[in-house]
Amino acid sequence: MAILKNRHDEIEKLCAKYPSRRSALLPVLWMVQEQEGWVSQDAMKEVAEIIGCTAAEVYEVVSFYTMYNQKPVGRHHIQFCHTLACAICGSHEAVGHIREKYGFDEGASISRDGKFSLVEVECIGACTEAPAMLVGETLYGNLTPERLDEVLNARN
Amino acid sequence: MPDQSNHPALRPGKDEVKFFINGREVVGKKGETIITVAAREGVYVPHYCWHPALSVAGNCRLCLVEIHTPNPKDPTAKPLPAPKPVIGCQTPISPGMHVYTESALTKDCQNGMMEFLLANHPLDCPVCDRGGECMLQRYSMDYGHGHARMVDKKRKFLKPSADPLIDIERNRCIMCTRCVRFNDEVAGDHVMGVFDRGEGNYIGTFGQGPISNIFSGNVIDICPVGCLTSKPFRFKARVWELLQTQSTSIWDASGAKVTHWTRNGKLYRTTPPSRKYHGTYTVNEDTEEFIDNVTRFGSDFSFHEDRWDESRVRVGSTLLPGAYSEALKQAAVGLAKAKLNHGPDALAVVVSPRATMEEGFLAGKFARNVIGTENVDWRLNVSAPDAVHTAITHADGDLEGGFDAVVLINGDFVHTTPTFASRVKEHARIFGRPIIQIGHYHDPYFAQHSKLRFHCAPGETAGALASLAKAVKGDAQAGNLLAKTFNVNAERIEALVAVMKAEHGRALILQNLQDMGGNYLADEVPAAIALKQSLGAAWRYLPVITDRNAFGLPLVGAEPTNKGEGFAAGKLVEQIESGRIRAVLAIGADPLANYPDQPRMLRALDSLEFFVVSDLFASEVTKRAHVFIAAASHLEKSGTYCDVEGNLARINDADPPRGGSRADWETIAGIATLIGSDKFAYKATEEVFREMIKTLAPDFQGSFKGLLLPGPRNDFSIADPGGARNRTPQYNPGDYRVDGAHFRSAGNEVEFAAKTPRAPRSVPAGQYLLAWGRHVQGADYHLDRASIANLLQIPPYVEVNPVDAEKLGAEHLDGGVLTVGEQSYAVEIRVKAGPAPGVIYMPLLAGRVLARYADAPIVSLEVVDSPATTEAAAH
Repeated sequence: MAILKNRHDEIEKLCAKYPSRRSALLPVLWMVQEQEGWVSQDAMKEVAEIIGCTAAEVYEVVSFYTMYNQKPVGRHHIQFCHTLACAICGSHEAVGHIREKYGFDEGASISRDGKFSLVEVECIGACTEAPAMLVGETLYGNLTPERLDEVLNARN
Repeated sequence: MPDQSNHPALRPGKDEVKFFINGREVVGKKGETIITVAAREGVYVPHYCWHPALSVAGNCRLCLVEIHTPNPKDPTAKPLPAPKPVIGCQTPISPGMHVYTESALTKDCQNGMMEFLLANHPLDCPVCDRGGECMLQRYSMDYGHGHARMVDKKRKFLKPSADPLIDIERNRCIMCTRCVRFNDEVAGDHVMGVFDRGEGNYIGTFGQGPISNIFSGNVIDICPVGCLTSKPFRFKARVWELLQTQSTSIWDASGAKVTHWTRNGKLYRTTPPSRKYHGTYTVNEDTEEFIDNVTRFGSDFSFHEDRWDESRVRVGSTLLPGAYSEALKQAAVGLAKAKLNHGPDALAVVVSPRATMEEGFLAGKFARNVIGTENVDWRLNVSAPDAVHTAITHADGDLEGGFDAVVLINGDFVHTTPTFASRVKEHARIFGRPIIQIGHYHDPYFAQHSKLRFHCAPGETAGALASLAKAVKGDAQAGNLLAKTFNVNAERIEALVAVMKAEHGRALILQNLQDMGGNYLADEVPAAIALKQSLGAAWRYLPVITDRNAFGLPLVGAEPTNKGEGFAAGKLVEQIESGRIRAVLAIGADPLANYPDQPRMLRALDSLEFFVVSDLFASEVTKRAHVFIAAASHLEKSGTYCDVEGNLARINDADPPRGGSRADWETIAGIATLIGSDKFAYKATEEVFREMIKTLAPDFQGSFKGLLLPGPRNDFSIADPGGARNRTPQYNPGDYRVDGAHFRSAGNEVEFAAKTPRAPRSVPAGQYLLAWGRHVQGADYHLDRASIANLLQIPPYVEVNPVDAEKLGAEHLDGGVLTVGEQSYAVEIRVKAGPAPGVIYMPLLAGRVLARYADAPIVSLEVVDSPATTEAAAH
């Protein structure tokens, strides 16, 4: 009981919303991710104990949904869309631009300074303003290299 | 799956569903699926993910069948074809439905599905360990496509090494999820899972941990492909080169049946019984006869290097190897001399709890007819012999026909009789029968299905059972007392009484005869029987115990007839020390197995005038013998065992006895003959069996075909390269049941009076009462010599109630130090709801170091902060 130590009341409130405790698995995992940025193995074990299932069951859920990060993320987590519309409008170039300019090593998902992390995701439903990305929970569209720098520098 | 014909929801006639399979009219029951009815009717529908003992997943799609349903507008018209084929495993039958399992559409579906399943599967059967018994291989032949059209790269996974016993090769996995469901539903531990999604789907364990439960080995058999294979057996042999011998487990008193697979005098593997499938005997992947890991991996101990396969006779201070006949002569002379000098009662015959019934029968006959004493016993490792005797002779329950309710008293059932426990749980799970747990230890294995659980302090169980009997009769005061003992409110007690009072066709009281800390069995056994007697005829009593033949040996006279006259072997030391016992004949018995004061036992054995041991290994005990007789192992002899339900099962010899060893029944008969008796002229175990069964059940009219005639079998379809005949007997599941008869020792019809409850004990703050029990994993020094004994034995651990764990600040799998009196043990702490608050449970394992206490000892537990690293060995 280390990661969610002080959030006992919130968890109980969540669990009370469902007929069985297991149903609260997704929201409890969200709580972990909001707090830590990602869901570690220790966190999964802890959630299993809270929910009353085994760690394997928690890992089944975490590994099924890509929205749960299984690796640590940077201070700003960028999810860049690479589905058709964004790809046509230059998402590959934009991703390359970010990787080069903001200090990502070859193949790394976190920048060297730990400020940014980057994953390419499937459609985020912003095809009208392709190419688009999410930084944390904020959507940015019509991204050109200049606009990208503007957005990211504001957070640098 | 338990027989569903007794299910109350199904009324004969009314719930019958008539439909057609391949044009033939068949009858099923409402709610049954196509595949189950087809299997019963002898129509084979291919399947991977469906398994008779598991829930329906419906994800392999291989059981797709074409169906036509009656026209709703005009039932007399031609049935309408369904818009698309349906899966046989999940589709319930409906009246008038036509199922076609061999139509062109069905064949096309099977063909297509096989191609999909093989798309990512490596086509390298010659290097796969499953080759020869692989369902993918077989179905490719029967339903497959013949050639691969897959041109893309196959998916590849990294190969983890998660479990010390089970190898996972994910590239071969077809995602049937049988292993996942097995662990979840049967083993009761959702330790495996399906991870990732889509093409990345794979099976595994959390954090590559081991599959740590006692049934984990069964995933090897139920895996239809080469994904999960046995590490100890992997690449050692091809299955068709091995000789199969049908036998029974010598570890699990549930009476699990097994097949030993041997070649050239070596045991390669032990599996659930092989069955005929397409003309071949193979471990059917649909097997419902799950076995525990100890039976599966622990049966090869007789090949250990410590084995003494020559008899030895003491000359001065050394045991010199010699001929069997010479050893037998020396033994006969020594025993006869001891009888002459000190009288018959100075001799004792102790047999192993794993001796066959034939051996027990001959030991009893030898002691009574040849020596003239009642000093014969098997209960060497039992701490409450009288209570065990009482319990076993009053057992009248079994699982045949299932149960409507079951009460579990005090115990770690899954580690005492694993397969029996799994059958109890399966029945409760499938039919939703209530499980009630009473006592100071509740089996966590049943936790999911135990709606009613009542914890009490050690020593209070007997009193609680007595109050319960009164409360069922309507005694309100007893109800109040019960609520106080269990520390619950009156409503819970009312719910309990309601279940006990309800009209049941059959209900069971199961009692665990493992020690459970303190000698409470003397009170608890009569209390449990008294409760049963007060509840009426529907209730049956069934005690369980780890000792394999505990139910067979009393039946054939391997314990004193009259409790007062004879002696219980646990008292062996006292009897030797006081000089009443001067000579001992030990048949495979290990006096050190569960005896706390080992030096004292060894001193006592040293002081014996004459000590004959028939055993397999060099040990502290056998080294003290005057005559050591090399015994044949369970793989080298035949004989009969009786399980906790009273069913007989037979072990069959897979090999001739090694070196100069002989089966124990031959040894006893030989000594008796040499002493001068003419009543021991047996040529085979069958002769002993016939005589034994005559005294056992004179009027018995059953057939013993399956038990007596394991004759050679010639119809094995794959040529045996060694030229040896396969020794698989004609085998039907019913055979060993002996026509449904259960063998039970006759108990005296005693009315058991309930005793006054004990006063609760006061435990100082911060300290706990210790409960313990014997595990099948901690069986004895034979198991220690299994080739992978280190992987089977569990690290010393204690179970702590979550309430206590929080007080202690202990987390699951923390390290700890348990202090009992002046002794301290490093243990792993497991937080489980098993023990009652204030109780710590510790299994009595290989070390067998815990002293025996009259009452549960008061202990303290200290948490050491480093997490235990021994988890990998938790099997």
